[in-house]
Amino acid sequence: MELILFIITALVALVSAFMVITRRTPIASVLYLVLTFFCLAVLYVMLGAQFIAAMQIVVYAGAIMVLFLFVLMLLSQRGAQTWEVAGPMRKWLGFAAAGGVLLVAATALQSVGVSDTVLDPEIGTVSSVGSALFRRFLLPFEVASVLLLGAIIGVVAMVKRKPYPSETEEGVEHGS
Amino acid sequence: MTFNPSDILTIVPEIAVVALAMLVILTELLITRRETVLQLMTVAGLLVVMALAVLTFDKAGGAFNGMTAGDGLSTFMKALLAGIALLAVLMSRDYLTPPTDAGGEGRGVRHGEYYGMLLIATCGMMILVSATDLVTVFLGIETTSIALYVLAGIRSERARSGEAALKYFLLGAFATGFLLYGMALLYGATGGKTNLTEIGRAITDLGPDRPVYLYMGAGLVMIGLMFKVAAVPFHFWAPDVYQGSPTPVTAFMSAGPKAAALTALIRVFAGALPDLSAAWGPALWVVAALTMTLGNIVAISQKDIKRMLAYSSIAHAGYLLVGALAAANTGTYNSATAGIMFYLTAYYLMNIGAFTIAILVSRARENGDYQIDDYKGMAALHPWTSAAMALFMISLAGIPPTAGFFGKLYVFSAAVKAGYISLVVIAVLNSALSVFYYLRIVVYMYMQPEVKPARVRMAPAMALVIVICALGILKFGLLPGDLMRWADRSASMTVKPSPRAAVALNDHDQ
Amino acid sequence: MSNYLYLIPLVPFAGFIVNGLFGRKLGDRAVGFIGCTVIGLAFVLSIAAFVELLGYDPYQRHIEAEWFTWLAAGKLQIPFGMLLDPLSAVMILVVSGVSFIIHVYSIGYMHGDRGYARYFAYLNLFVFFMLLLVLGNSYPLMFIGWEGVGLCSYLLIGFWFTDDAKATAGKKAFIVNRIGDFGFLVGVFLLFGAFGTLTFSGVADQVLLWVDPKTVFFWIGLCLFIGAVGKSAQIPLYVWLPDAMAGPTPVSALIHAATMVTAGVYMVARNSFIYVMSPGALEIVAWVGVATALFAATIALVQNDIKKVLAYSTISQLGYMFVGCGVGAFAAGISHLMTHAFFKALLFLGAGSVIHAVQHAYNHTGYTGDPQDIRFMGGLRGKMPTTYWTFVAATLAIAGVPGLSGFFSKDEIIWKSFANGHSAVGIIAMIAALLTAFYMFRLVYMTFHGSWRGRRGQEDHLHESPGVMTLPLTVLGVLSIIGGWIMIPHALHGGAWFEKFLEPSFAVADEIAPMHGSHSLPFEYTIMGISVLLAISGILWARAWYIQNPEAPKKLASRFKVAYQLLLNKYYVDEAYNFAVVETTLGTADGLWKFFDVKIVDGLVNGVAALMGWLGSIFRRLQTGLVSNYALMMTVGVVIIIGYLVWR
Repeated sequence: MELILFIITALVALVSAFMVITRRTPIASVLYLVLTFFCLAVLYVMLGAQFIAAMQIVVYAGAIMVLFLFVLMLLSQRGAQTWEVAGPMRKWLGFAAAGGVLLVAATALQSVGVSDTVLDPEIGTVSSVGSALFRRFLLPFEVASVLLLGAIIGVVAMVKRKPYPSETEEGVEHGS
Repeated sequence: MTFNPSDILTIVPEIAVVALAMLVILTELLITRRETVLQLMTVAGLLVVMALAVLTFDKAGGAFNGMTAGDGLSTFMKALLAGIALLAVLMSRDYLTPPTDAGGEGRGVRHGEYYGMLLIATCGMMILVSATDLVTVFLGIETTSIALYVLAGIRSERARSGEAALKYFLLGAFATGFLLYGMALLYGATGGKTNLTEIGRAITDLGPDRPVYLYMGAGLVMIGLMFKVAAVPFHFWAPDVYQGSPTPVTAFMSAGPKAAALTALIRVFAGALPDLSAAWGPALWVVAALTMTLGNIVAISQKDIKRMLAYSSIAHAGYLLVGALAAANTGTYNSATAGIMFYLTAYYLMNIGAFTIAILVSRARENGDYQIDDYKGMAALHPWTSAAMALFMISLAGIPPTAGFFGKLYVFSAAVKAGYISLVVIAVLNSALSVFYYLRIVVYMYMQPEVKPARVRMAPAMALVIVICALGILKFGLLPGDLMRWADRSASMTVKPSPRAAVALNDHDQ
Repeated sequence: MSNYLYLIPLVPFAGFIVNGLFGRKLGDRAVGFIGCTVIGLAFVLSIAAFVELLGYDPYQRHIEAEWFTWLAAGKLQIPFGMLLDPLSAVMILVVSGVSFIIHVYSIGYMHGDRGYARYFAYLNLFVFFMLLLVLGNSYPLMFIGWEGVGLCSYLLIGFWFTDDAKATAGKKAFIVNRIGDFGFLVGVFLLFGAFGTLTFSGVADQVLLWVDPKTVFFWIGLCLFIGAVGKSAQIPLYVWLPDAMAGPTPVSALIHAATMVTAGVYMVARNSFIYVMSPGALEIVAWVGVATALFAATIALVQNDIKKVLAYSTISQLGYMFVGCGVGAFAAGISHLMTHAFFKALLFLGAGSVIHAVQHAYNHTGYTGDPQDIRFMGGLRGKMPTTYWTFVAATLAIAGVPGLSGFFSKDEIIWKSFANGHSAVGIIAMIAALLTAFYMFRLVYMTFHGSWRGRRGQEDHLHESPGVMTLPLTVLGVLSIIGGWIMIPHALHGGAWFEKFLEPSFAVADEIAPMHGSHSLPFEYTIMGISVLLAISGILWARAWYIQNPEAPKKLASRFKVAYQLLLNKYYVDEAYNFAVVETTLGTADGLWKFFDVKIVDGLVNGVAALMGWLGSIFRRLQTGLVSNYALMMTVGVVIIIGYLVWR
């Protein structure tokens, strides 16, 4: 039962992730991304990490995705921009390279042994995550706040300015 | 597992830098258009941070449950990073407020935010250099990177600056993906360890039959750090980003993150994964050789000084990787690490000096370009500035008696001791090659008739930066003893690779 | 002793500081005075050191004065110290003495030059580095001097940088020297790897106790020799020296004849204990030396620029010094180094005096020609007697006429080649000696004899140079004559005092591999006789061609046109190098850059597309286009690295 659930969720996650990078309209990409995140949340639950799963849905699938959608909608008011990314040649090279990574990773991951350690049922619960955050990971937790502070100031610094010139005002010189 | 109040002492420099960042940003709100006050405040604050970094030296090493260490290596590097930020701040104000008749480069940047981002990047790097846990390594890298993305694009009224930021961000995020994947695999393969010392111990306990995905994890972490160091083939972002970013930021970027990422590389690979060096050693060997060779060869044909210095910085990363390789050998850990510290100090001085003069010369041009041709005949008009530039170039080329020479001497002699003779031969050959393009600037300044002389207007803060850099290069070039002793002592007080991990590396030399 | 040993290099350095910082304000007279005084002081100190050294027992003459620990990093402990032994004592005397004479000469020669202060500052700096090079007691210190003199040489060659060719020559000198320095550095790293110490005495002590295989010595010796080849202008790195003559003539005399270029010889002699451990490396030194001696002599036969002839002659004579070292007669090499410093400095200064006079005459007649072309000289003997006689003295010395300094040192080298069993080397060295006598007298005859071949009326404006220039000529003339008298060999009932004095410096080498050379007196007399005969026939040959029958060389040149052109164009080596090295390097760099940044990243990806006609819209959207290309390349890197780690 669990195995079947896992296979279905994993497949959906993979397919929707693939769709994210192949869709031409950004909105569609974002929606597929939401789906991917949901599937990941299911996988977290199956690993016993309920709190992380909840966070995954609340923060990523919820807040961040909504933000993405808003940005895209605001942007598309200024004229929708489809990203003309690649000619066929580059697309195939891209696939080849990604395939290479996949091949290498697949080879390497075959060596992952099946662990028979019984996980502590407490792991992934709110209290254990909270206790880990404020005890063992106290410093990283605080550093993360600096990171976010930097990001906030940075965004303000970059946005609160004259608008970005619409077209490149100077040719971008490549390798001269 | 509990919080120990005295642990805070270890991170006093980081706290001070963040506090300074917030102070500067808030002050700007209160006193608008008082750039000098802001700059002086930042400079004074960074001097305090430098002092704190030295004072908080903690022999005991770890703090916060092994997340961070206040050992010799991190103390030295924190002081160095504060120094890098200090000079970057000093050279920034005149760049951000251009003379009224010049092209408006740098206008519209709010100084407080700019300094604030610079300080947050510094804080991130400080966390990175003292990180003894994969989690702090990651957070350090990310804090640094996010601040740097912003700094690269802070002059966003210029398309090139915005483009640099975007490129750096996209590629940086891409590299972070690999880094995180690698960390996850290491975590899995070592049975849920994130602490570097514990990882090292766990790998030793695994014995000879290690799972293959452990190697993959190590490789991916290496790639993530290589990206930050700008090693070939993960260097592609560097020339574009260095060229596009505001020049003080470029100077800061070429010295700081490289130093921090290299320290992390030493901590992770020489510290935690020396057992696997038979695997990653040859890979790093090839990457180091490629990095310096490509950097030097491509630098020769550059016509823009920022691009030239960008490729030169790639080449220097290659020399430094030689040292990192030697540090993985227990026998030469101390001398290689100390050599790297010395090299980084020297590199910081000569590189920031060169960039400062590049700004001055560029400001003298109406179009604000960075063409190497602009240096023609400069010596006749500006003997002192030219002499300083010549000194920086000579030091970058590694010619004695300058600090650059001793940096190379220490790093390469450690590598020879570790048995990497053919790699050192490649490195020395490369530094002979590099003379070609460094010297071109000197030749242009001294031996070419001036076409249209660049009338450089010296600003006091810029002059101060140049004097500090020049004096430092001469001091460490003539009497390198003090700095070397400090570096040596710092290196010997590092959370070291475990003795069981001693693997003779000599047979990996190709 | 240790109290003032540091002052020997430091006093010239003080001169550099004063002249460099305040030179322009001080005025030319003060600059010249300071410049000469500091060097004079260094010379006096060198004499004092030498005298003090003589006070010790011969085998106690090794004084190391360590000032402080200069570099300390773990096992690497390098003191900042000076080493005074017979070898370095001779070197400091020669360097400071000849420098002093040339500084005095420069007061007259550079009179009225715009960069007078700068010139003296550079010259003082040069002397500082050169003295550091010969006095330093460790390889890193020596390397600092080594690089420093290179830097000064480069600055002084390009001194009148308005002249583009001079700037190019300076650059060439520097770049070629870097190839040599590469060898030096690798050699030093190998030394450090093998011995873990970098002081001369530290390495020498360990060599004595060495039991492992000796191949490492071959590689160390070879690498160091590459450094020497670069600095001392030997085949194949000699190309920079003739071009270096573009600098002011006193600079050619001091740096590119008397002192700096001999640094390579000094270095090989200083490392005698390394070289004797590897006969193979010594063999290479000897053969490169003798090949250069002959090769450069043939080029000198047909050059028409007075300084070019002397430049190739310098290369050839440096070859002799390496022959001396290569056959194990280090003392003979150093002897020739010293005598060569006297007579070659004199020749250059004499040439400077001639050029000075000819330029003066040209200026007066409003003629703008090359004042260095000997085809348009002649008959200067009567106009400039002091220059003429001193020049002849030096020429006789270099040609190896018995009794003069060059005879004793050169003959010693040739004799030692035979005595130590390198007969082939000796024979080639003898042929080169014949050529030396010929081309030097060709130079004398064409410059000073016959009648003026320049424009009519110019000869009335030719004058002897001022006293400040002729006095140095006279002093060097005397030294060129008597300088060899301290090395008269036993065969001629002399004391071979110089060789005996130097002996302790090569004691370690001698202990490792004693030279059991031939001591047959008749053999030595025969060799000596042949040498003298060759020198005299060279002189007579030149006299026959350039005084008695001036048409002969022209006829010969037209008959053997190809050979003549080949020599005149210096075997086209410069052209070949330019093509092989400069063009190719630049081409490769440019190509590689285009290859990596354009072809692979944008090209392989976009360029292929471009071929198919899809370039347009993609390439213009550089912003995203490039980033994804970069990302693609990074991914390829990831696959390679991880693939290697996984399938290793």
